[in-house]
Amino acid sequence: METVTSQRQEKSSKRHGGLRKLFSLEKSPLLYLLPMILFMLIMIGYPISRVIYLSFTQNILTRPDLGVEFIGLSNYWTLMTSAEFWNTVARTVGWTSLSVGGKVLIGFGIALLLSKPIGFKKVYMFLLMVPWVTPMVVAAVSFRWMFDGQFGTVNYLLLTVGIIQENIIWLGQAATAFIATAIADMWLGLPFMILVFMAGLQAIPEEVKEAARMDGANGMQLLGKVILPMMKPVVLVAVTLSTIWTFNSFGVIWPMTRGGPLESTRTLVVDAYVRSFGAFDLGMGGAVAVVIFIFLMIFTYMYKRLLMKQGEM
Amino acid sequence: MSGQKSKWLKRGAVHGALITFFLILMAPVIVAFSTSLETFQGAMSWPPSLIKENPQWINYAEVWSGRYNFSGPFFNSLIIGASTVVLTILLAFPAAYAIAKFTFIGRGWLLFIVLMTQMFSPVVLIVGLYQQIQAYQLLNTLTGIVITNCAFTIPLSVWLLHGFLKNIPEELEEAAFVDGCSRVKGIIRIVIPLSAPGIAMAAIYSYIWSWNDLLIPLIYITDSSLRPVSLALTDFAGQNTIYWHEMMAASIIATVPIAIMFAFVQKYFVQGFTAGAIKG
Repeated sequence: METVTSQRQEKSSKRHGGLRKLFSLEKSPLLYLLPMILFMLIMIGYPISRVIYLSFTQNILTRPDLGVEFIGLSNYWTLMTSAEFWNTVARTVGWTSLSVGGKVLIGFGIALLLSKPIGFKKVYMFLLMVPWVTPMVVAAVSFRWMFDGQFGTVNYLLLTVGIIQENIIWLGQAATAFIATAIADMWLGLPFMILVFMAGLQAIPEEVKEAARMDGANGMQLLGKVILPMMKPVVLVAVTLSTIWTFNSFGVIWPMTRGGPLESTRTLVVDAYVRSFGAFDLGMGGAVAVVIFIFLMIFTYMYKRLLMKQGEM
Repeated sequence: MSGQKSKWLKRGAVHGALITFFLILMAPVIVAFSTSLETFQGAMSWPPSLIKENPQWINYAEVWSGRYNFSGPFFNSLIIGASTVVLTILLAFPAAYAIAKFTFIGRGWLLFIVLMTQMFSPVVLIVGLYQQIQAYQLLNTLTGIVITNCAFTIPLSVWLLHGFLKNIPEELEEAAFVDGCSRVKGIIRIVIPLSAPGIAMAAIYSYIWSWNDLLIPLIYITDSSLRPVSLALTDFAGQNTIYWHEMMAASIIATVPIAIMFAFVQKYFVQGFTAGAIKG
């Protein structure tokens, strides 16, 4: 009897040897990965499929009389044929470009200056961390205060210098609110940009620059023909990452303007939020979310391609 | 002699440009701090003054325990942040270890998917998440916020940690195995201490993320005693009259914990981030 059992156990252990190996902490990655994968399936996988499903339905919480109905691509059709939606897309692209463009230009300039052998570098690097440690909401409300039409410091400074003649209600007008929110977003993103550019600049060997100087290249030629081409991969990756983050920026716009005035700062993420939790139109909100999702997928794919070109993935 | 002079001029120009830039960069913080020491009338006066003759430190006490009771949101955020960090590391570290130290089919894809999820704005997922958290009856709880935060902090933490773990030489671990250590023991005794800076980096990242996030509490929390700082700060601005002096005092209070934490790990954070940005 005992021998039979032990034989059986032996057999079953052989049969389950593969399984046991799969669940081995020594030899298999499975148990290490499983908790994370399960968690992410529940917390990311499910919501994505849920939002995709919702985007195919008519589901307005404030209109329970209409019920929840599967309506196929109808929400997308409504979006695609709405001039307002395309305005939102254009606004988002414009806002993102303005903010990222500012970050890249200013960031590159400052990185160039900081990469020179100068004194007080540690002090500068320390100060550079300030926007990074400032919580996003704090930055947003501080900028809101600085851009205040009546008592704001921005007006005061511009009046003192003589650039403007009278107070501007920055966050009360479409064009200026658009710019003001982008400036706040730039401020938050600059440290990352500068640090990445500095790392990129450091990676350029001194001999290469030296050789170019020997050949009689002046400062501008050195920048255009040597430094910029060598920085290209770093710039591309930084721009792609920053674009994704900026595209998603909700924490700056919402506390500053709530998407206003006259929808001038209503980017796609604000739009998705307002549709879902302002109008409680989960179907349309879901459709906008899926559009954002597709935009980001394209960007992520491009990011992966850039990384693969560098042979790092 | 003139060469020396032009060198000084150049240096002066560089520092001049940098000082101008950093003055602008510091402006929001300087203005916030300066306003936080104003009286209500003082903040609403023209022209704005930078140096206060009579700094109102009382604003901080007022905000902390007075009618705004900002200590409540502050501790809520501390609890949310700490729990998010613990849960993130518990789930992300083993996964990052597996990706860094094992070779298996689909490893590259897994890494790509991890990176991809990091790029989704909470806005894209929030409707689905909201309904799920509602189903678990976790709306209006800090637990609900923590779990949701982790969905966004885990991916980048896995990414950061896997990069870090890959750089720890195999030999160190193998030596432990030869000595009869099991893998788990080896991880605890050798790998975790060696990757402490990486873990700190991921932890700080997660903490900052949860401290910063506005959207999730904005949607999950209706009970005002459960608001974190991000939500409490926007509430100041929601009223008809904004008490800027108190709002700015609250802003400074909300910044301090992050600043302190950052000061400890700044070096690793910058290294890790730039390396991550360049190497991917």
